[in-house]
Amino acid sequence: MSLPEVNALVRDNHIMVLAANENVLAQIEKGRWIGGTIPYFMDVEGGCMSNDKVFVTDLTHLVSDARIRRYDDRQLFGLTADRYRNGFSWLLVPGFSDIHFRFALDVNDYPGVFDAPLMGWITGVDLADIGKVSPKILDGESGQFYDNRAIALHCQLPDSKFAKLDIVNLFQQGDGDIITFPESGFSATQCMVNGEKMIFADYLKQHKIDTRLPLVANYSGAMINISIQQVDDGKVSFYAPVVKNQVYKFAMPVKDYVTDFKKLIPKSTANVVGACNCILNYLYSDLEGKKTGALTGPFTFGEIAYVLVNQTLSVLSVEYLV
Amino acid sequence: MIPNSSHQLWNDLLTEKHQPTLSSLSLQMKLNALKFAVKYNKISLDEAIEDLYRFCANNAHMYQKDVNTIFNLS
Repeated sequence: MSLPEVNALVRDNHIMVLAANENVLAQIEKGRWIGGTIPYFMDVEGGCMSNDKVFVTDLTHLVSDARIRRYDDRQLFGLTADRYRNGFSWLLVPGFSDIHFRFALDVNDYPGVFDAPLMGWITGVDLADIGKVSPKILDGESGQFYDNRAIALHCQLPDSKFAKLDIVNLFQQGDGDIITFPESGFSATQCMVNGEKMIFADYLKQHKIDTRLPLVANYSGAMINISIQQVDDGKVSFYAPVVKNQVYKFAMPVKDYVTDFKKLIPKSTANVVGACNCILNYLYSDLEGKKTGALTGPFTFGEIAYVLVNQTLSVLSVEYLV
Repeated sequence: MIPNSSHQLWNDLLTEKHQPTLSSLSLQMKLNALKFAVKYNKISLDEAIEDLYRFCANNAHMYQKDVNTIFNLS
């Protein structure tokens, strides 16, 4: 949407999650919305970058109530207490911030975290601006930007409806080595490969691992990806934390992302409220200008599907109770 | 209908003796978290069974299909 179109919705008191670059978000009037910086989108016309458009997820006609809450890294643990009895929460977290790391490491321990959908994404910037400009969230009610706070839009649903969160992940565990890590974290030096202690960076080099492929953990059937950010001086950094003692395997390669993606996305998107996909899928699969079906949303620096995941599409739906 | 927490398959599910294919992401995540907690002695197996049972019972509209799969119900 264009800026005037979005501001018209704001004036009409719409409840929204907005994604755009920082300059655009700064021009949106105060209202019942939260925003995150990101200029990459999966549009109905295909993957694109835009410095003047806003991606709008309008929840107004779906929810019976909503509240916006900001959190610092100490308060975030209490996020689940702010939810409605029936509903969902949409969380935006600024990329590369302390709260990004805190969230990812602690979210599994949030009380009742799996009791209601926790959807969201990690905010980002133009890839050319990484290290120069910090990703941010924006509180629409106050008009304030933050690069060290997370923001949630907690939404209440009428009792006739319920929310459901799914992921679409093209990656499956390959049939290679079993890899575990002695500590949880966004980086690792040591690992265990089939029970043998190794330097993880050495393992990657010796086995000529394609580091565009994520590590994949099997969470009782859900494939959860951890992507490799860089290998530097013997230390391997990740875009989401590896979990101590969780079993990982490198993913099987995906031959044709667009074709495989279209096969996996839901046949009907009538109940879909919102989605987000990973910037790494945009980059590694060269999705600019390529149509990936009816699901639209931002390409983000990390997807939240209860926990932080990588190279994954998160999809939130709302359905009627039968 | 959610089988009572005394049903053996809750135990088998958490100890990975029974590994059905589940479809609900939240149930998969919850189950994984509980298996981990039991494996590393954060909670007892009995506590995990009760927690998982309550989780499914409180959200039966979401998990009935998976519960049917777990317990071979039609």
